[in-house]
Amino acid sequence: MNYLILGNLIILGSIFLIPDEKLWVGLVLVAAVPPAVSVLPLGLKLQTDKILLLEGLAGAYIGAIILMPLIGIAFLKFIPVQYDKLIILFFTLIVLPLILSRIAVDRNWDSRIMQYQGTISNVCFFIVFYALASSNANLIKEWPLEIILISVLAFSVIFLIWIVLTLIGWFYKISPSKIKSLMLLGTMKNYGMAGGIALYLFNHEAALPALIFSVFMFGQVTLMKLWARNDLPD
Amino acid sequence: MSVVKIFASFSNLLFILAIVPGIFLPQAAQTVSFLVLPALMIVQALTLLRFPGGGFMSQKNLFPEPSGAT
Repeated sequence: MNYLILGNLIILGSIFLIPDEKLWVGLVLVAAVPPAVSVLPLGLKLQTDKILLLEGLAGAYIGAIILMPLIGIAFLKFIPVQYDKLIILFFTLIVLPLILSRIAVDRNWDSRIMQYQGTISNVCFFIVFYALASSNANLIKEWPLEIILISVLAFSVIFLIWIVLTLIGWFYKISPSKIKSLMLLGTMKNYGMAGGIALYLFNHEAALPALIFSVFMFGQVTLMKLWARNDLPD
Repeated sequence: MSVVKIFASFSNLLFILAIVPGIFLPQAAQTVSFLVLPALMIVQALTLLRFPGGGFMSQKNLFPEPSGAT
């Protein structure tokens, strides 16, 4: 769902809507990243099909190891990339987290760390999104047409997937828990990672699409939390 | 009331605090940019902690309390 539908819709829409190369690079990065980390806790709140959600998330993260470089090669082959930065990214986002997490699990630090997991993640994402917003502050204040076009793209992609999944669920009598799982996996990407990679590897303009998409995801998550609160007595 | 509660949650407030001051008070952009990669590394490591040895057997480990807009 995440790569096949959302990723392709973002790239397809951006081909027609975004002529600026820097913003196009950012949109390709948005399409290339795996699903958002928050789909798991949000899935719990929304009473989704947990196994389907977990399988989808794990599959997307494993697939991302192959798909991210492939999407990069396919769409960004003419964009100059500093290979030393790519190696640093590989170690920082894949190798080091793997080593650190295994050390923490082996030494039983994980249960203590997980108590503060939400707070630590929120502070880290605060740093990432502050960096994205502040580095693009001048561009956002100028309010170019591209911001509106990316916003239209973000809204229409999320809305389209919601409508189509709801219709499929209604037509084929699929359980709401499965449809909700597919909605989460099909509409939410790790925009913090996309923006961070864009900022580090390319330039601040390339990070703008991730920032705009994250604002729409913020609205979507708030709506879904409200939906969960209305559905559940607790 | 529930709308206010949702908006006033720690993760949502931090997100708004990142975006709005980021646009109107961007003076710390250079400094914070250096912290982006370490922050992402920590988030990745924390995500992997959700999958400890035998973690797939226990759904409690995999689905902690909701947090964050990301």
